[in-house]
Parts: sequence; C-alpha cells; structure tokens
Amino acid sequence: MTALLEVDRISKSFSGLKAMQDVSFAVPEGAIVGLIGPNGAGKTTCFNVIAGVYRADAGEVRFAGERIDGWRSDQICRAGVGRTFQLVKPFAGLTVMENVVVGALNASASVSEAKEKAAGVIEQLGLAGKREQMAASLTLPERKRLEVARALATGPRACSCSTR
Amino acid sequence: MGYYWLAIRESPEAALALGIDIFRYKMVAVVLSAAMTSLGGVLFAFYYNNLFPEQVFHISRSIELILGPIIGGIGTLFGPIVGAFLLTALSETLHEVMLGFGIDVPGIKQVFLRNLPAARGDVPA
Repeated sequence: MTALLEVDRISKSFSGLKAMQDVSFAVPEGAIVGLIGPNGAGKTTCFNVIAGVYRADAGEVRFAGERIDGWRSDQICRAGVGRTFQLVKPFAGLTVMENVVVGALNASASVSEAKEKAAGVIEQLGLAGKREQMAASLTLPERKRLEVARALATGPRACSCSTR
Repeated sequence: MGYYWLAIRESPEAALALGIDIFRYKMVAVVLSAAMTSLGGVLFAFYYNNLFPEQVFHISRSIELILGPIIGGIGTLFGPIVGAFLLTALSETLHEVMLGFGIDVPGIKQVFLRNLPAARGDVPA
C-alpha cells in the first residue's frame, strides 16, 4: 500500500533541546496509526511539524507524494491534512454549528453547502443536540468532539489528532 | 468571509489549522475599513469644503466615530449604522429643542465629548 503521509528522518531542536531526532514513519491511506510515548517524547512537536506550525531542522514531510515541509499551516490544511489540538481551541464566542461551518467552508463552494456539510459532521459526532449552543458552554469531552468535527469538516484525507 | 474574520478573532492558531490564510483576510479587513473611512473623509471634505487636522484627527472625532458602533451594537451588521443615526438624530434634536427654549448649547454629542478628560485637555490627546 502506498503511503499517503510520509515523515522522513525529521529532526527538531529548541535552543539546544532536541525534541525529535531522525523520526520516520509512514501512514497509508485509510489506516489508523497511533504515536505513543511518555511526556516530552516529542509527539506534539511531531504533529506540529507535520501541520506546519514548526519548520523541521532536517528531514522531509511528504503528503500524497508532495513535499509539504516548509508550507504554512493553512496551505497544509487545504492540501488535505487536518489536525486537532492537544489543548482544545474552540472558537468560544461562536456556536457549535458556526465552529464547524468555519471548517467546512474550506471544502465548500458556498456557505449553504458548508452549512449542509457541517450539519452532517455534527450529527456524526453526536453533537446535534448542541448545535446552537455556544462552544464556551461545552464540557471538555464535548469540546474535544467539536475539535474533531471541525477538523473533519475541512474534508481532510489525513487527520492528526493530538491528545494526552 | 465574516465567518473567517470571527474565527481569526477567536483563535488565529485554530483558524490557520482550518485552512484560513489569516494574513490575507486581515489585509482584506484593513483595506475594507480604510476604503470606507476614506469614502467618509471624501464626503466630509465636500460637505464642509475644508479639512483641518484638529477637525479630523482630534481624539473627540475618533470617539465620535466609535460611539456609533458601541450604541448600535458591536459585532452586528447594521448596528453601527443604526447607532450613527440615533446619535446624530439625538444630538441634532436636543440642540434644536434647546434652541427653542432660547438656550444655545451644543448637541448632546458635543456636551458629552467636551466633558471627556481628553477633550478638556486633562490628559494628552
């Protein structure tokens, strides 16, 4: 099976502290791959490098055969790599529906299409009863689900979900 | 685009992760804001036939411009327009009413603005 996402010997240091060194792995399309390790092992740094938050000091990240290291986060998302955050970052002042619509707009031609798509994802994630509720009023597990919903609404081919 | 602006205001990092080019949309916001302000400036200049720095750059002018959206409702589409209409109508009506009583006082807007510490010169403008 050809790998959809390939991480090839990436390294990242923060002022002398080596967060990752020569990390390599491949994620085939449709597969669920878990990255586990103790606190401070560099899991979130790895996700941040893949998502374009940090630029790797060495190595390459390829998505669907194309190098994406060095791209901005928004470009990587539009290329088809979604992500969630370890510490959830919902748009607190918006409703659940609006949060997911923002994500869905990425993969939609119009706002009405985005709303339709968002409604489907909200239903799938079991947040249908809370769609008009403000994100700030959700419990932590619900906020986590909202993050996943928002990432899935962007229509990603690969999604990295950082958690602890 | 409104959804993108709301998302950027709430969390720029999360907005980026959802594929929003935040630099581009912030730039669009600045350009639109500048375009509307410049249109207002042009109308203002034509109406008064002159422009002086203290007329357009004074802190009371900035406060006056911000009062409209605050009264009408920040974050609403027509709030600033409604607020500006209310403020102007109230100011002019009160001015005329007072004139009717034979008292020549500035409109409520001017009374309010002149009593602000900055407008009185208590703090540097």
